Amino acid sequence: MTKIQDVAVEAPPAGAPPPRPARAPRRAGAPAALVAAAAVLPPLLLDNVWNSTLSLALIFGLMGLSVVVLTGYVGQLSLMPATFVGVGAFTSAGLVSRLETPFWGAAPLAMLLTIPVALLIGVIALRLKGLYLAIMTLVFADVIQEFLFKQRWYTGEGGTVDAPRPVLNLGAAEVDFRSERSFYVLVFVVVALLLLAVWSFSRSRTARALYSVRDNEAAAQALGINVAKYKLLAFALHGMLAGGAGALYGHWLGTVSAGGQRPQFGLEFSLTIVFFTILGGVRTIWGPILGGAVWVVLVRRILAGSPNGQSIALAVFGLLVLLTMMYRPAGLVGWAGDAWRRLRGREAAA
Amino acid sequence: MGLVSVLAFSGSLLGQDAVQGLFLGAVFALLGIGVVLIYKSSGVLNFAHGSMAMFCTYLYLQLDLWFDWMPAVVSSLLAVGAGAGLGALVYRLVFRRMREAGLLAKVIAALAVAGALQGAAAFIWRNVSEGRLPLQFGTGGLRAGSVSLAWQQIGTILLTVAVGAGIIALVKYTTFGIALRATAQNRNAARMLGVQEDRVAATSWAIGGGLAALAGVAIIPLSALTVYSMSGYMVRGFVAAVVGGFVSLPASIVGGFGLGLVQESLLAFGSGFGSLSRVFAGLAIAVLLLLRVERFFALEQELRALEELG
Repeated sequence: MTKIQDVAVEAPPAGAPPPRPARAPRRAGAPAALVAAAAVLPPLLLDNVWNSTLSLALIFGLMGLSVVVLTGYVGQLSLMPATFVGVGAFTSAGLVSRLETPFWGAAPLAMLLTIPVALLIGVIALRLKGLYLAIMTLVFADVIQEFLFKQRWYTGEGGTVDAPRPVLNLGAAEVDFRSERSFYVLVFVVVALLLLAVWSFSRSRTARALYSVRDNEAAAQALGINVAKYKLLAFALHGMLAGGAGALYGHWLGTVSAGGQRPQFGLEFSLTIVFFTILGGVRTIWGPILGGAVWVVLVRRILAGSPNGQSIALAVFGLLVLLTMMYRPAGLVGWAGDAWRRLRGREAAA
Repeated sequence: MGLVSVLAFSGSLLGQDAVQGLFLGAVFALLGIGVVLIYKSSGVLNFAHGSMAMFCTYLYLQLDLWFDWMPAVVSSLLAVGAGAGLGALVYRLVFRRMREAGLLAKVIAALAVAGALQGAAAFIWRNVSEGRLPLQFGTGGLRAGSVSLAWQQIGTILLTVAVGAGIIALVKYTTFGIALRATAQNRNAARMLGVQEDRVAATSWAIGGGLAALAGVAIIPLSALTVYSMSGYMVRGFVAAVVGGFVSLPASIVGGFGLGLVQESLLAFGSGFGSLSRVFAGLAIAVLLLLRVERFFALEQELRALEELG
């Protein structure tokens, strides 16, 4: 469909039949209204628990988005997104509660400070092929857990840091983001802006270079694409998005802790992020949002009463990811697209 | 701190840690052998290896709870059998269908199997509090000077050496072994010559699963069993496999023992080395991967086949 539109934009050659009347220009109003509704309606209509759940779903979606830019766009698998989430969470929480930085500076700073950590892994990744890279990230998650997340100066006394939610002081008026409802709006705005940024990035020339590296590295290199540069870029984006999600996650939690025997930001969390992203669809920005929402709603609402909700959900998600990999690698988004096309096809036939 | 640590060094402590290191090394080697066999036969880096071991170890615990009269050796053998069955099953259900899939897809599928097994174990055995599991080689042990060796440690180390030698012989001399090596080196040629790829791969998965279960039941009586307890061992099994470039079995066994030995011996230099010991595997794997150490152990042809897979 889009193909036809693209062609119709160009001037028709002389003598050609007159172009079909262009479809009614897409109204920008409808999507904008939808976005506004998604931002405003939950705080107005739903209770605190749902607002908190939806905030978490969006934050998880953002974590999954970090997997999309790396695995979906460049085809590199990182098994340590949760580690970068941890770096973002501890950095932002520490800046706010111990160095008294305002949230509005701390969270973006945490996002930026995660980039060098991710680049460190990226530099090593340049020398490794896919399979080795996966092992390497697994192991580096351990190293960071052991060395960075156990440093007192970083994770505080007893390994926990407070992460208070912000209050925006506008001179005359104060906007308090400490309630679940207002925090949801904040999370929504941040995630929506980052989604928009990744979306427009995904259509840029740079992103096309990333895709070519993913699809055929040798061919990309032969075309003069600097493979190393683009891989590093993807790692930087991966770290940045995961770090940003981590900052939000920390303030969502209220206190950030490294966990004792069972690390908070360890392999299990990373697997969760990778799983729901793949289930949703790893090559589109909507995949992690959808997958993350399914995961969070499943764990925090449907299985909330069960003490083993997390493990049931992990088992279910493991099976679902298996089925996804075997039958429909494009995930839920791809599957929904199929259903939509089938529906449209039937309409057209009727 | 370094100086103080060196001063705290003691010979008998080193001996004791070395024994423990060899014991852990045996477990790494058992896991490493399985990882290599599975990788060679089906091109899957089995991220579910630790979960398979964990699952079978829980079966061992369950058997022990149900039939407390059963000797530990029998329930261990049953667990190993279950591991073999689980390995073959995972191959049949999942990876046989993914033969032509890309590397990344296989890795993700293996992770998904790991997640499913982990979640299932956490759910099935949620109410089982792990007591001390029975030792297969009996309690007690030997004393040599100031170093004491538990029977469990001696037994596991010897068993691993024997099993390792057996598997190497299997791969070297039997029809299965020749078919396995042929598949790993040139899939199309092997297929053309009538090697039944699926059978070779399913057998390798079964052996790998059995060895994973063996590693689990051997280590767990001297450690603690949780749903997560085998993933650390799995990573170290990967390190062992990396030493052999994912193709050489003898190098993997040596790598496993070597890693265990160095990792635990570091502890003899004082408590400051605890963190280093815990992340040693990570640093080792980084160095090994960056040096491409597999060049020294694997045949040129095998490496080329690997490259094609990657």
